[in-house]
Amino acid sequence: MNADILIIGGGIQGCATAFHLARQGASVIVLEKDYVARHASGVNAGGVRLLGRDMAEVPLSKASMEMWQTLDETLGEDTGFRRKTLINIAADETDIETLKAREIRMRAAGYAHERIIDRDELRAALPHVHPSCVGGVTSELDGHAIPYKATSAFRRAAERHGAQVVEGAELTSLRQVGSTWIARTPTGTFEAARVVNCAGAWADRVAMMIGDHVPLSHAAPMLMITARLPHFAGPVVGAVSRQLSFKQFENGTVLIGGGAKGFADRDHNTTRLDYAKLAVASKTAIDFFPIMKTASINRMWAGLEAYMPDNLPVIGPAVNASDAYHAFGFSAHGFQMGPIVGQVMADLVLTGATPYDLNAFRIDRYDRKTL
Amino acid sequence: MFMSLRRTPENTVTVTVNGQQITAPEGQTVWVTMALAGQITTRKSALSAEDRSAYCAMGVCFECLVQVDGLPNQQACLRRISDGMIIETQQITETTEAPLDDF
Ligand SMILES: Cc1cc2nc3c(=O)[nH]c(=O)nc-3n(C[C@H](O)[C@H](O)[C@H](O)COP(=O)(O)OP(=O)(O)OC[C@H]3O[C@@H](n4cnc5c(N)ncnc54)[C@H](O)[C@@H]3O)c2cc1C
Ligand code: FES
Repeated sequence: MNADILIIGGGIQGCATAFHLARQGASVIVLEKDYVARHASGVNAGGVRLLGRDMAEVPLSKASMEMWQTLDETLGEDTGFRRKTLINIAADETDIETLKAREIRMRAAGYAHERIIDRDELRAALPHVHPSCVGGVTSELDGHAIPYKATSAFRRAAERHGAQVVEGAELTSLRQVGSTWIARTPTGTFEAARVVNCAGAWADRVAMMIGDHVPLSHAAPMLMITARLPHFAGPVVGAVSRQLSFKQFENGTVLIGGGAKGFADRDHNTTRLDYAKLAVASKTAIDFFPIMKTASINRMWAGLEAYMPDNLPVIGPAVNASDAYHAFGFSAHGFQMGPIVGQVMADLVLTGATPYDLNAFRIDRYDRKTL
Repeated sequence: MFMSLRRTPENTVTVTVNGQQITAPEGQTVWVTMALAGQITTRKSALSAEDRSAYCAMGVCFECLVQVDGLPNQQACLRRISDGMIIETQQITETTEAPLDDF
């Protein structure tokens, strides 16, 4: 099969890239070794978060946040997005100092989307928070979406514009012959002029096939969801310096994250849970919200996620091959970035340029300059 | 409707079911205690708010969830009663708001 552009990986980055390319008339094939949204993009916490982003990520994340507000209309599908506000709680004065230092840097860079709140405003927004908490920081555009719905929405919208998604097709070899990329999978061979690597926790392997080396690691962040609780938290909740993150859905269930990692085995597509760490995460949630001591955990799971050493993604062209591009390594906060990453990749592939500064996301930023 | 086959229990404990004090044989389950006292509603359905009670009575179906000592989602058919236990029909539905005096 032939196409203008071959995308490796049917997660949100691959599907969003396919959507933006296909709607501009390019012919696109997405190769997915399992099925669309099988991995991080289908099982993540659905947090659509601009708050607390690394400075380098803010311009992309801000643009993505604008896109999320109307994404259902853009894609003609339900992504489950709800704008809810996110509050990171300051447990003590040290946290407030951390927030003030960040506020100075944010203002200097011209950003005004984060706002520090005092104890009274915190308690007004989250009446069930532990009374010892002193304040926090909030971003009002933030919210959450349903991961598999959002990723599938991009996939179907791409397909409506003519993109082809081939599931169960693992890329096993990739070679550039002249100006053609030849991709082999157990089910067939595909040819394209350009290739985009959106292979998530496996992207270093695909990068290697392209010719680029990258110090990518992978891990298995864990989540748990409770049985219905009476409604007690409208905004999405995080903490400035503790591993706390949860959201309560309209049906009353509470999804608890926080970043605790299980055991990742990417060769077998599997993860194993670390229950001791989940117990610590539960304890943290109870510390901040005593009502959580009445919660019953219904299910727990983990997903395979790609991490870069600086927790920033790789977004940009390949350095050791022409007509190849990368978007991976989102380090547990890439779901929110999906909409803008798709657009940036489409711009790069079709025009060779993007209005965004991608310098911090170069694939060769860890290359050794000396022996 | 329900009747215990055990006529002369050796030891009894006293529990409260939705405000009603009940003295019952030690070792009896929460659900049997509720049923013998004529209080068969363990919980309200989360979506329809209809009454629910035990179905399998052997720990499998999770129909009989009840609130015990302030902790919701306890299986009434598996939990044994103990002295001073406070048992309440579980009221959590999709629209329940958490009261602020919880802690
Ligand atoms: C538990 C958990 C919670 C998270 N919570 C949040 C959150 O709240 N907010 C947020 O913004 N982000 C969150 N993230 C991060 C977010 O899910 C990821 O950053 C994002 O989904 C990455 O998308 P992706 O498309 O790069 O990767 P993936 O979704 O992993 O997609 C990559 C795909 O490539 C395929 N693939 C790999 N190799 C090949 C090959 N050789 N041939 C064919 N296909 C291949 C894989 O099968 C996979 O489906 C979380 C992640 C996890 C695991
Ligand atoms: S009645 Fe089935 S679990 Fe209790």
